[in-house]
Amino acid sequence: MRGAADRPGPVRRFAARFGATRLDAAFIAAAAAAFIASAMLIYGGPSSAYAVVSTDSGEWVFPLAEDREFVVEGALGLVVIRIEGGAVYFRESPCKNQLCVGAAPVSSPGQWSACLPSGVFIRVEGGAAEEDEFDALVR
Amino acid sequence: MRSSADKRARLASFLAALAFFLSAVEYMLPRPVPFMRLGLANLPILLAVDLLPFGGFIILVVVKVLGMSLLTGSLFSYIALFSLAGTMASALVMRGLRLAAGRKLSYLGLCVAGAMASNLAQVALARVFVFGPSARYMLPAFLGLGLVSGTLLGLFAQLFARGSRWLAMVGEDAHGS
Repeated sequence: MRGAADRPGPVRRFAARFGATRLDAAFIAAAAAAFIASAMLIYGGPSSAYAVVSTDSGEWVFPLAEDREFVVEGALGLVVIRIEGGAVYFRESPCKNQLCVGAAPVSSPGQWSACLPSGVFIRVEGGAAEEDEFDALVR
Repeated sequence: MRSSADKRARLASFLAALAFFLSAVEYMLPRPVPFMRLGLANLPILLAVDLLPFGGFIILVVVKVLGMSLLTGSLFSYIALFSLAGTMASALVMRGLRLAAGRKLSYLGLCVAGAMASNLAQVALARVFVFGPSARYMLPAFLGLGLVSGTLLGLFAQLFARGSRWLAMVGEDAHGS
């Protein structure tokens, strides 16, 4: 009869149930490490202050502190973007699937929203010091 | 009695039909996040790693992408190119890893590696063709989604593979011929 000490732990029981190998575990760990490292590198910036809107024709920077609505030229036509309550979102887009319009507003540094068919990308970047220094910038 | 080439052709056709069906199922499922997909239609490609010769395997990948693009109406847009790049990267990585590691790697590890390869390829394409340097902001989300969807699909594939008499039978046919 086996004692409690001989009984395999939950991880081993889980692995045995699914037939997972040590190499599987190594791949999952490597994938998780890549995810965590990329998140820390890319999202680990200073606190949020402005939205950067990128299109084929240029890049615009808008502070999130001030509510406003503006229009940019996307690959399919005009795209309406709105900043409201410190968050930015796609209000209207000529794209077919409207996934961008249905996506939640973004407000924290590192968050992003995109309209793939229109080629319009919005990302939130940090920099509280810059927040009060401009109304809008074109890069 | 059927020739082994005939059996392989029938198996490839069945897997392609399964990929098409699973694409339709995937299309019907709601997406909590716009870019999030479970990758159900990759299941036949995962199984085909061990079942089809390389030529048939690549044809299956192309048929899966064509089927999914037809269903979603994106065949003649660059979204189909994203789908082809992602699926092809995933398929080649899974096939290569099976060659290199053999049975030391189960469907779980293959699927996680394939999902990560697919999402990396799509972020790379987004950087080159659509968003430029901003595409790097998509990377952590895509890697996280790849990890979750790859793990879920891999676990399902392992349960299926361990319990399926059909897979055992076609596997014997594929390796015996």
